[in-house]
Amino acid sequence: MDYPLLPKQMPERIKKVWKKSNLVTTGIFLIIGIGVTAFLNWLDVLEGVWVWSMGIYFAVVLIWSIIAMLLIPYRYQFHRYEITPEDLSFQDGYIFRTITHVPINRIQHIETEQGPFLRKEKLMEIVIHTAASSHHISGLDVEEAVQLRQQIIELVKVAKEDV
Amino acid sequence: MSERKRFHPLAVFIYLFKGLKSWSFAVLLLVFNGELMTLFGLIALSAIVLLSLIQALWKYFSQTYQISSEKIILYRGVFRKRETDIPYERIQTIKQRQWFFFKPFGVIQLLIETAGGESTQAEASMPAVNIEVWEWIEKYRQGDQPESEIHSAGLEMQKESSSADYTVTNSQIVLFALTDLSIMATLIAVIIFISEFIPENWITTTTSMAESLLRAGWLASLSILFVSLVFVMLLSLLRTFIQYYNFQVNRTNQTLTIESGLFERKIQKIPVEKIQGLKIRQQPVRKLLGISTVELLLAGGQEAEGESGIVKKLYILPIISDHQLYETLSELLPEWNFTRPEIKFVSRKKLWYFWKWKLLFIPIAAGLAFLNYWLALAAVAVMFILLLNSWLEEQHQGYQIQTAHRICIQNIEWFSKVQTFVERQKVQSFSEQTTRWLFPKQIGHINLFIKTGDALEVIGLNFIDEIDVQKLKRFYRNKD
Repeated sequence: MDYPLLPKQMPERIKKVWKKSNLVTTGIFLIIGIGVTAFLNWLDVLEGVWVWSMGIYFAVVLIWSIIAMLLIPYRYQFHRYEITPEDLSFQDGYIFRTITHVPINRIQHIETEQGPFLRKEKLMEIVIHTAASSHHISGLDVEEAVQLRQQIIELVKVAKEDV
Repeated sequence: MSERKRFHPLAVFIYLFKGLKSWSFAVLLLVFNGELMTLFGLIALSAIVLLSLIQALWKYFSQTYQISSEKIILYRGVFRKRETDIPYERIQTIKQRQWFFFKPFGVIQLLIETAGGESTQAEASMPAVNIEVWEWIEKYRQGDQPESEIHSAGLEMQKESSSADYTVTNSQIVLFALTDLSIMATLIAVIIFISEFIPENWITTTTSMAESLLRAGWLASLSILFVSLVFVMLLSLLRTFIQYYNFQVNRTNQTLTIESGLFERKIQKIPVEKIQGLKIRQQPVRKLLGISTVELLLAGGQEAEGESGIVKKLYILPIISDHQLYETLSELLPEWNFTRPEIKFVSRKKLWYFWKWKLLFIPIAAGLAFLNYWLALAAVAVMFILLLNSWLEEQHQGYQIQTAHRICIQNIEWFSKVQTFVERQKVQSFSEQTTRWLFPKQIGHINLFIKTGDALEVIGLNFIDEIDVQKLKRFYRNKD
């Protein structure tokens, strides 16, 4: 039996955004590492256990970043969503798989976010808040996002239940 | 009752007391330095008192409130004005506090909580108001209910036709305090301490004068420790007793009233439809005695206790014998139709999954054995505790779909059996999880997300069959 996949996928351009933000994150961690190494060197303690721990730090950062890069196609493949008149569903993960269902009438408010990378690709992130939890759809076409937001608000108006 | 009013003048004293309390550190410093009676000390002290008094008066004169038929409004501030509006139907719970010395004045403290807000403070806090204010709020809040309710909303609101009561006796409170696990932990610590050290010491005694003197000193300090531990235990027993003294639950129409406390009487009103869920908790000691505790889950902020920041549990039944449990609950909450749940156990025969990561303690312990024998032993002990706990989990995890809209989930939380009852419409979201390797075996986990206090409460079942996952999902998505 195959693992059930939800019907809707994000635009393929999200992969580019993920790659870029991955690179930037790795870059930041590398700069922090280089800074710490320089500082340790300046203190004249860069030997023994410090060399080891900095080496391990850089190795972990690089391996982590490579794995994240390699997993992007899987991440894309399994990052899905579905909207029905009653509820929203979000799917995430290839190794650790999660599907979350949020009934429309539990939604308290909706946020949209757009970082520089998303803006360049004309994408938008949608965050859906319930009274207890929040859920992300990490990239949709701007028009689609606005439309989805409107659609959800319309559905929320119809189905009114209180906390 | 719709004009803007100040709080009761006694509020000034409360503010003053709170202000002085926050300065108490400085005052103590003065006392310890022996400067209290010097000129400097007296000036400093009067400055502190004056400052606190000005602050208290400022607070008193800058805050007003207004009770209208739709909402409660609080006004604060002189330069930056703030106004808080709370419509009655958004109130999650109303708490009333009264210290015994306020009783003659008919003055109470009111705390009104809504589901919003991030802080642990109440959305509306009225430090001192006449008891009538509360009666008016109750009257307006229940305004859309039958005549009989409004009619008797005067002095005796509790006693009405459709009411149910439950009272906890003094001996029950003592039992509740005694079976509190934190007391147990202290007791066990005391016993271990004594059994560990004294006999060993006795065996190795020699008759030499010096050593027996040393031993006497040692024994003395040990007994001081023992006495102080017993003292701490008694103190916490006393605290629990004072806190839960004369605990009463009362159901009137659509409102639950929970009342307790010896010196400070606390009364909390909860609209029944705002109850997010219910937890029946039974830790091992109480299980042996056949008693349980029942907590209410509310979306409005439960205040944190002291500086520890631990959110206090709101008990609806702090202690109740098992054979009365469901009967009493169904009297208090008839719409929940309480019956003893018939739990379907969902993770039996899956012990391996519960244990697999915890077994990693074995190589860790083996590694530690080279370093330190005791560390290795400690690791093994921790592992056994974890294994035992997860074995209990494997045996007792389960659920029952009680009606089309209510579910009961049973978990083990640190050797305590916990049954959570929750209405579907109060579950904010549902998630199903599995992994790359569990899915082919048709095993997964589920989580229900509920709003309690200011955080979210996650109630889950781990390593259950895909069939059960689907059943629970269909229940939640209402697709049966």
